Amino acid sequence: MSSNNEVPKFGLLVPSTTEQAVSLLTQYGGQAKIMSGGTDLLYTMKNGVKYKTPEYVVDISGLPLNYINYDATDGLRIGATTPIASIASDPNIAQYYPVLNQAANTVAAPQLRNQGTAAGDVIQDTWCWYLRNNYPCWQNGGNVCFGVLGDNRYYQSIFGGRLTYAVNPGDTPVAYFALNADVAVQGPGGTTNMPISQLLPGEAIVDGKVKENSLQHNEMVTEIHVPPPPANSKSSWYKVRARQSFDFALASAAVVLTFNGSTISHASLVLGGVDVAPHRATAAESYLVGQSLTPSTIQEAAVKAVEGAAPLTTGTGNSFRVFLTQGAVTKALTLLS
Amino acid sequence: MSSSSSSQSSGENNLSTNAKFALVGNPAVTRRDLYAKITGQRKYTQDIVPSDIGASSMWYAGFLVAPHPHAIVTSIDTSEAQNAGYVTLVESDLPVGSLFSGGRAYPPLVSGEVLYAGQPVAAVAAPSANEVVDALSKIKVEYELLPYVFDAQEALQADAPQLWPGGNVPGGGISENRQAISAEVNVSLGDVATALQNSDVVYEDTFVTTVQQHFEILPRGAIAYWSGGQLTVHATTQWAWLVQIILANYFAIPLSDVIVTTSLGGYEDGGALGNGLGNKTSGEEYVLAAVLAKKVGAPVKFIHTRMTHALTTTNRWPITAKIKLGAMSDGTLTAIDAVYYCNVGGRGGAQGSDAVSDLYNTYVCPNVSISSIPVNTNKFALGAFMRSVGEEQGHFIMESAMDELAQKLNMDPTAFRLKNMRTSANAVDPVAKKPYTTIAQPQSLQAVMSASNWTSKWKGWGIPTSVNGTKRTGIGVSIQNAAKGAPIPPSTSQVQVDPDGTVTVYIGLTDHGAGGNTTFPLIAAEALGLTSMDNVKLIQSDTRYTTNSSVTAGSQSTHNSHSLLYAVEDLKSQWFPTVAQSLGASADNLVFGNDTIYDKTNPSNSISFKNAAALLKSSVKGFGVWQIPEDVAYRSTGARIAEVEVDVVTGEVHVVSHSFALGLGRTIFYKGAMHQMMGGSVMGVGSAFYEEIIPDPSQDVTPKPGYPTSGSFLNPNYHDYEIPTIMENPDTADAIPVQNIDPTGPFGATGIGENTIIGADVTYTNALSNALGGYRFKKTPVRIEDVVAAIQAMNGNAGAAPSTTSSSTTS
Amino acid sequence: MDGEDSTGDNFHNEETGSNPLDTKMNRRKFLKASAISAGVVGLGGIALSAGNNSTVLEPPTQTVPSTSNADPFALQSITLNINGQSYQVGVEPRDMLNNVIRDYLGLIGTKRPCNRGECGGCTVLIDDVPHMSCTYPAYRAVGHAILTVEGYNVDPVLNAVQQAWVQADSGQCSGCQEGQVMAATALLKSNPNPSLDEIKFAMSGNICRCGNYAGIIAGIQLAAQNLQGGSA
Repeated sequence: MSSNNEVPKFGLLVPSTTEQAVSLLTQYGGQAKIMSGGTDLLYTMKNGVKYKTPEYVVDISGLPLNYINYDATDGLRIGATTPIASIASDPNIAQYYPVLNQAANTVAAPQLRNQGTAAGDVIQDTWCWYLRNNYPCWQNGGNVCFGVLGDNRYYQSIFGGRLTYAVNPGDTPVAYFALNADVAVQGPGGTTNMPISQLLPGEAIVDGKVKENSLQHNEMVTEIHVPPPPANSKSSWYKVRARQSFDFALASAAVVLTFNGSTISHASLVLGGVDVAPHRATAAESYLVGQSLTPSTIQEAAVKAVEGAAPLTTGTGNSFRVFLTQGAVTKALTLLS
Repeated sequence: MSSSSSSQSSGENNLSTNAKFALVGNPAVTRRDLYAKITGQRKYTQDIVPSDIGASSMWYAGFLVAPHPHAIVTSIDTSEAQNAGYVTLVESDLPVGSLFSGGRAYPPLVSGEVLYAGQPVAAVAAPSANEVVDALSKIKVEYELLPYVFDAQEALQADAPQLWPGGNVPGGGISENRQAISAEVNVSLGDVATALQNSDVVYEDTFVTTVQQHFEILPRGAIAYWSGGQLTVHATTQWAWLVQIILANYFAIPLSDVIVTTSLGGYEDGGALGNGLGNKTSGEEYVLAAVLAKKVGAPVKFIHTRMTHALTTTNRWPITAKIKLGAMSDGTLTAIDAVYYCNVGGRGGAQGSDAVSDLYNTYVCPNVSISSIPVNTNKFALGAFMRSVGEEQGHFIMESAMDELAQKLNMDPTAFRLKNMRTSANAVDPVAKKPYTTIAQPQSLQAVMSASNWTSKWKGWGIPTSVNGTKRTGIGVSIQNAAKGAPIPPSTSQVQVDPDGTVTVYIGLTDHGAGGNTTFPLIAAEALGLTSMDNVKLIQSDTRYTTNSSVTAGSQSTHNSHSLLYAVEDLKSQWFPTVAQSLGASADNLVFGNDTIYDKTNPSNSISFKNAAALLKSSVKGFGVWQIPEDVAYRSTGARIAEVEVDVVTGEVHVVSHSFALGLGRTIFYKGAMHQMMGGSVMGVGSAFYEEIIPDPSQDVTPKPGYPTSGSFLNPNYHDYEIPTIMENPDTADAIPVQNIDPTGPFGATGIGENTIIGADVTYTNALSNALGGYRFKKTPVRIEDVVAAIQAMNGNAGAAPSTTSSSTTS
Repeated sequence: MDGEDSTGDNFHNEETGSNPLDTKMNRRKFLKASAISAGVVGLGGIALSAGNNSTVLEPPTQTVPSTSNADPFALQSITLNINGQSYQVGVEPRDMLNNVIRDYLGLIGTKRPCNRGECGGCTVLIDDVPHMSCTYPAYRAVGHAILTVEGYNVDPVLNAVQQAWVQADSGQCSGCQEGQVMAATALLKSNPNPSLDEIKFAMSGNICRCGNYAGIIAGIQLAAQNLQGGSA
């Protein structure tokens, strides 16, 4: 909770290459942050969230990272600064990656999709209202997760946590997990490619700071790469939310199924908004292989999807989101049946 | 017409009487100031720049709030901010004085003890808007935390934290209609105990409503400057004269040295507040801007940030209600026994009388015992004027409980209401013994039953109207009878005619969205027999140029503009003798009509309005005062039926249809009235399913200095205080004006305003209950986790008779 | 207008000479210049060649931000294209487009309801794409075409929406309607004949607290009809 609503003073650094962006990050130590679209960073700064407010901003919006390239053998490459809206309206994505198309169309609100970017949706901070109100939580220089003790209905994990229980808020990252995407990370030593699950491990401690992504202070995401869709595969997305705009997922499900006739030969099922990172529902994936989609197999898959759920019983509790998670899985699978 | 979006339809049973009017009730009349607003040609308070007030520059202000619900301020260090060139204010810098805002007297900045999270502790002014945040960051405040209490019943316990000397029950206060009320309201009719004993069916339960806020789209604010000893304040206020009195008292200067206005001095430009919903009557910002302006020596602009706006506002205060109802097996209501604990926040005053009067007015019941107890807690700033003060909450409780009683009686809920509702046959307030000015029952209920096709849709208690895959649709009903539309004195205004035929209306009222800027000139034009408003101008809401026309709130500005008709009468007395001479007629026989003045004994003997004006040697101005009748009850009556769809797999809800009939008296500005009705139905979606101020419940955490603690608001923003978006708009909506004339209103009109939200939320929750096996929702809002609980209860009881967890008994 | 005869002297702080505020003088001069510019723009309406009236006392160090800037916090002079007019203005990095067009240029038709990217009330079009101006850094707008509600006589689609808004009574208090009008304009530019679902989807980033969504839908449908009939 803070009084102001304005962006505090910051120094603007505008690189002309990704290498320069990284060297600026290095030069300013932990005092500089990348700004791509800015919808998340500027909001955080307006809220005066102490540990998330940089002194310097490295604005990468002018770098040539706004692109979507699709190739049948290479798959999909999305530049870091590509607006979410471009992902949401790209015809190749709509045709070959419906799960990503649908997820992108449920991000926030139209204006925010026009400004928010591909990489930003992946590495944005949690929207836990304790962090956003500058509570001294693990991510803000403190040593407690207020969500565990307080109001954890909407922003805390139902699958446990370590220090922090705040969920990863994004929609497109859930689709990227389901599609086995990898990301290109530029650092001082060059570019590294890593699976997206390595970028979003749920919790990372970098330079003594508790974070949701594993980026070092002088690293940035430059590209997201999605392999070509498997032959005979179908994908879908469902996001449960209170209002059908603006709101983050109370639970979401991204599904990619490969079929042999009507029998599922491979299943990728990832849950969003319910864990500290997008959550792969492995028990449900195993169950689905060899099944065909019927109301009863869908119901069973939804039950298996929440295996291992440990909703919080402290504070307000959040077990209702177990129900919503099953609902999201049911809806996403039903869309493919 | 009824379309896939929303529209008005049917039920316009009395519209034929509008035939004699050119403008009143005419659907072709458009909102006069809309084009200017949406092309950027009308300035809201936040838009005022120095040149608007003849200045070359101004300073900008903001304030620091306490992030704790109950604490002692042990130190405030403003030196760093001052050394950086900023101007600061703390309580000890202020003149002695307190604010009026419908609550306990309290200084505009914390005086020692913080009573709610978000209370302003210090204010700053800086020479640019950007620097306000820099200045705020340089103020250091230290607190000693105190135990706090959020629950009204807990706050009544002897060992509860005491917020005020003398205890947590505020002394006497004033109600929405400015009647003095004692702290506790106790109403008693007949013999409730005996009636309950003799009832065939008794229903007893507890309901809890939540804290909700206006979240009007543009925040409160003020621009203040001093010139000599005279103070001018451009304020987002629904009542300039109230602010004038507060400021004059505060600075101990004459009223004539305080100018308060929502206008920049142009025509019809004093109606740009960006909504108010009751929030923009008075607040800290006017006083602090004025004090800072004096200290800085330059105009100071103080516009709340979204957060400080939310933290310092008045609130829809919550009620915990214990209610017991009795009925005979034929459905006759025999007894109402209720206690309302009204949580009025840190510095709220006595509240609750309206919720109580709604309960005994809506239904005819010979035996009534109702008490309401206002209680101060640390939960929020203050409970006072938010749209439908007490009545939105009261109707949720009443119409949920009446539904349960009807279910126990196994009666169709519309039949139960038709049997027990107040009608024109008994349209008298049973306690105040005052006759209603108008009543729209039972036509309202009959109109919405017809529009919604109720009879074919209602399949019984707990039985959905339709089931489609995982989606179930239920239908619900509510009726309303609210203490609204009571005009607060004074009702004054002026109407001027210039020799060139230009008409100018002077009225003290503003327009925060209800359409007053169309309604006021429309009333004057109609009274002057004009068929268009093209030559009618409006000067408004300025303590210099207009008189006090009371507050633009309480659904009363249309009603209260009745004085315009008296102003026209006064104008006639000055103007008609000249016209009579020209026409060779008697002034007594002259009337306005069809853009002329004519002899009613010989209508062909006429002169055009413009030519009649040309007979004037100078402008004439009529003064109008309406003596507001006090021996009548001003009530708003109506009914709603809605269908709500719920997905039993995801808990997502959506309003499918909404039919709303409301007694409007005669409709003046037709388009505006219809859209207000539909808008209230949308706000009801928020009240039913989304809106709630959420204080942090985390406990047992060691506080870290400089950071918020347990009890702070988690959602003082649009992100988490969820206002319905266009996606939540009901698929179809019927707005049905029931035009039973109110003889006390201009042309028979009565108020609309806040009456459009009352009962909307409970109609939706009753419908949702119908969709989910009769599960009774006993709290607002019914958020998605509550829907999930209902679905799980229904699934657990599959096939079983609908049941609730209430402690209901049958004797 | 009342107060037009007044001069800034009425508000002059006689203590300024000894006031620590003097350290702020550069900033104040800058704001003063902006205010003058705003006054002229406001007085003449949007058709003025505002570029000629917009003077910035603060010497611009550069026109395009770059890392070679010695002081990353410095005020920069930028040129914005708003409603077809060119405006030169000095901005800090932290100045959002909303602050600049409202406070520095006086184009107050764009509102600031939440200033947090949560309501859509500050929506402007940047190259015909709707953005929330409160969360869009001003320096980024250089080289792009900005359209606000004041562009009613340079953009026929915008004006068709504004006129339909009055006929359909799409606004009540209208504190959000400036943003609604811009979002609707963007929709009709990209989709001249939208379905009801398309309208709702496109308008889902704009909150109306008065709840006038029925009026907004009707306004868009009417504007689409009028534009297709060529009446605008």
